[in-house]
Amino acid sequence: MRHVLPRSQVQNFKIPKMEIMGSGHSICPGCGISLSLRYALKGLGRKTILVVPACCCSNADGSLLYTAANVPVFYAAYGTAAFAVSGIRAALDFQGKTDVQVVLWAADSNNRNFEFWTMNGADRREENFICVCCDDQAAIKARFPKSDFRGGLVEIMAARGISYAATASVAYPDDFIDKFHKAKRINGTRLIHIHLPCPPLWKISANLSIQMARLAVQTRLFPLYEVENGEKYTVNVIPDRGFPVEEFLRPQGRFQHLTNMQTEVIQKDVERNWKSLLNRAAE
Amino acid sequence: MKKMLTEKEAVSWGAYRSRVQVIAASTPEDLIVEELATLCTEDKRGAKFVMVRSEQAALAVGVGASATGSRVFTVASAHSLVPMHELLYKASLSRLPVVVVDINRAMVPGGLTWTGQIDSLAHRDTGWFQFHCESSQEVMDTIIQAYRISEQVLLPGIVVLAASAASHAVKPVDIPNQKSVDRYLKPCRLINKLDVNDPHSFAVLDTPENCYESYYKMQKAMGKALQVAEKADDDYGKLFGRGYGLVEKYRCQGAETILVTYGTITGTVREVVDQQRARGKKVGLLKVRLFRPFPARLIRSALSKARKVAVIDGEVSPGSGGILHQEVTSSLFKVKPRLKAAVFGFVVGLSGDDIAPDIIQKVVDYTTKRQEPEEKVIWLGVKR
Repeated sequence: MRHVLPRSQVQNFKIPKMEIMGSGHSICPGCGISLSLRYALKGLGRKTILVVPACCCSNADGSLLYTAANVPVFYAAYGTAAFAVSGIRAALDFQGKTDVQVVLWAADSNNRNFEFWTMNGADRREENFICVCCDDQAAIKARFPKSDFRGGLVEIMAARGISYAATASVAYPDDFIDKFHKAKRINGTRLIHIHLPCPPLWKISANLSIQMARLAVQTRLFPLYEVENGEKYTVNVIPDRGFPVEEFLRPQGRFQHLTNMQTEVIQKDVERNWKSLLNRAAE
Repeated sequence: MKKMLTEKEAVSWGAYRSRVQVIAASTPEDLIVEELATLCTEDKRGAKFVMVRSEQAALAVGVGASATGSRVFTVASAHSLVPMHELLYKASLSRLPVVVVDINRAMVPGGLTWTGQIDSLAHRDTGWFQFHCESSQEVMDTIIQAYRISEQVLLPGIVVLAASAASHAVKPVDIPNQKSVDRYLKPCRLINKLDVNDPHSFAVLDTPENCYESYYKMQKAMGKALQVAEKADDDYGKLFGRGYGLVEKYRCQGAETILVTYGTITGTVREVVDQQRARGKKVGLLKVRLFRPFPARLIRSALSKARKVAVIDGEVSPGSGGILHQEVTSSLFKVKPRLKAAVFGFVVGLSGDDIAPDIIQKVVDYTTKRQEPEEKVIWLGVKR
């Protein structure tokens, strides 16, 4: 496995030992959301305000009196998270607190469906914030998974020319934390699309979750890459040999119905996407 | 400083003098925001304007900014206030001092631009205090008062003015100077806000017993808001020579029949009361300026000597009756000592239909000729 980290800005960055996130979250065992928040805060630091719409991530902070994030969290009403972000950003800017990061932290289908259009609007306002999509692929439970593996979110936002768009996986903590640290140092609309496992939905046991998340990257289903200003593509993790997608699909209860032919279709799709990604990175 | 202003411009001046910091704006209230933007740009205060594509979004921006400790301003109108509904609860239960100006418009499928109070009255149970204004001057003064009340009791508030009937009319408005307003309205300082040095979670996952407690505290705060609003108005009167009261008694001295109403209808009713008095009829007017919290005690004492009360509603709750009528009736009869006045409930000029003096005259005639109302809701000037 080869890691490519050609980033001059973060050369001297070491993962801090200090934990910002405390105990008390109410996330399911094996879910990647709590791990993501812990990693992300290591990269972002304490000067961060989280905005969370109603989704699985609402549990990442725990419940009243036992909150875990240790940074201010604002829970936004349905479909309004990016607007709350704008309000908070405006207030912080008015108060001269320009060094505080506002992070929209949303999970599952929420970000893709409910919040996506609000995020679009925020991008049009050239809002200065980091948008995080914790993608446990919950939106696809009833559908054929082909199209959802494409990481379309990063592509769409990159096409709009936002300053930074990247994918990250909980199975690659160094790359994960690095990306948050890098995003923090950039201005403008930034997007980080996190791939993370959901044991009850994927129908896997909780102890397999990191292994499955890693397989998603190794099978090239979920490539780790970043796009700067919509132009500069960098593939961050290049697996030495690509595992067949079957390795990722077979252990999961949710994919038991797939026929060999369907798996082949997915395999071809993955290869085509991977090739086109490498081409873009080579340009 | 006196200026000729439309009511919309008076709104801009009220917000400007209140030193609003974050302005969340969407399209239908363009004139107010444009004027406010001009004023704020000229003096380089650095107020932040966030332009969004819907009112739900505008209030979401407002709620976020208010939670961060800024003084927030936004505007809505009828079909644009309704999408804010969920956010209204969010603001009140989070105890955020947001002030929204609502340009009253009727709620009809055709998107009528005439006036009607239903848009704001429909939100009476959301935990926002509500002022209904009669004139441009009152609108501007009330906005400044609203910020003071809101930040003292930590409840959001709606300041209501009537579309078309008032919003586009040009009238002389006395604008208080900034120094005096600054003396009246101190900077917004919230203890609970989004602060990286003192991290807390807002509107977090909660238990029923805590939410129940929130409602109880909100009700208590509403009680406090009544006193705070009364004091805010008194102080304003002392400083600027203009007080309005939470309710206004107009020629109620010795009145046998008192007409109760709110908003811009008051202007016409005032005129009719004058005519009646000139003819020696004992008719008075009670204007309800604060609708939430409802000033029941003040209304009871104002109506204590009346033999007949005629409530003039510009709106109706279908299946029940006039909305102000319900409120007045319950504040008269549910608490001891019970008053024996006969209360007549009139519905007039719905959806912006003209409320001419002759309609109010009919109200007076109907009430004086009868001992008791013949029906619960008396519709006047309606095609049947």
